[in-house]
Amino acid sequence: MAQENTKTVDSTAIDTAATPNNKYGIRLGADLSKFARTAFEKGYSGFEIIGDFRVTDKFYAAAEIGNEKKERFEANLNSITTGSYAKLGFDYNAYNNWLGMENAIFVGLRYGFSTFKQQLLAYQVYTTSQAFPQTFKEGPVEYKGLTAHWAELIVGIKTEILNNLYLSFNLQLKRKIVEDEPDNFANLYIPGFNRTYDFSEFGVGYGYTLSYLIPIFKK
Amino acid sequence: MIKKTCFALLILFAFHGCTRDDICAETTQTTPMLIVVFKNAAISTEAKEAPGLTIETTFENSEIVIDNETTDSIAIPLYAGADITNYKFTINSQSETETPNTDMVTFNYDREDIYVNRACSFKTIYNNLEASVEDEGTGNWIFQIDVTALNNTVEDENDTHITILH
Repeated sequence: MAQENTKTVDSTAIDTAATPNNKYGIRLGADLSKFARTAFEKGYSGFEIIGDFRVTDKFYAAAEIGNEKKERFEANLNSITTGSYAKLGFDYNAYNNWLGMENAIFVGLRYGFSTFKQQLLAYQVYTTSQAFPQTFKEGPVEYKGLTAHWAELIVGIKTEILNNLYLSFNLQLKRKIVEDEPDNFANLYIPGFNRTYDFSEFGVGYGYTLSYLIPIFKK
Repeated sequence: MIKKTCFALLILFAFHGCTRDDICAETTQTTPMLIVVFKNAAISTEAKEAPGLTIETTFENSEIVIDNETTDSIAIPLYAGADITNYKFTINSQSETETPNTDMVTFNYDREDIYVNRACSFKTIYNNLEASVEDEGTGNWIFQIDVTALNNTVEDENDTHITILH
């Protein structure tokens, strides 16, 4: 008897859980991790503004725009990448909220686009022999007007910490589609895509964002 | 609480994924060595070993790049910091029966830096290679030095860049 009672309670709970959250509007915010990195990480500065718009019960149109400057000062190569990027796509909320809650576990897809420049400041000629002194070359070379395009898969969680204020963490897996390769150099970093890998078209990233929902209507 | 833990774990994961691939692999072709072969001055197609060959740089603190080897083929570096490299080529360098004989060899070239990858940075290849031996009249053990590199360029280490007749 007791078990049956529990079951009844459960099914009621599921019904309640399936009740959709109903706030529709524009959510705007920024990536906090980029502010933190600008403050604490040497050779990095950047920001990202994020926004999404709820289209249906589960789908949100989403976009990010940002600007980044990343220095690479290694023993063998000094370069600086500077540029802006935009990402467009959607998020799908896979989480069934309880009545009145506005949390999310989401997956999303983005198309990413970046325009940037690269400065090659100095480098060391790599030799296998130690017979001669190491050779360093200086004299900046600037590669302007470079572009890159990529596709991005995002997974993340989003929590409403205060009324209409959301904190979110996401992980990003990116794959380059096409890029302008500078003549006799390479894109070691692409704003929005993050660092590149020599033998792979993939990249990774993360975001830790705070955003505010401007409610427009309720369904 | 669970959410906070999740956040912390996710952040850890994100940073862990950022390890570097910054070691230049030995198999990568970087700045090439100069490949020199020794042939018989009488029959120029026949390989002839240079006995007890020692090669050293002409800097103040000279470096020995080949140390008392009897060989008909060597690989030596060129200096990537200048358009010229000088070497002392000595045969019979530690012989008890023969007198050591040193010839001054000069290599001239133009340098071109080529991007390899993130770990190796750049390499230098050498174009318009020229080679000469300081004339000592009858005292030279090198009879003739020829550039045999393809397009006079030192890039491929499977190529023979210099042929020395002696």
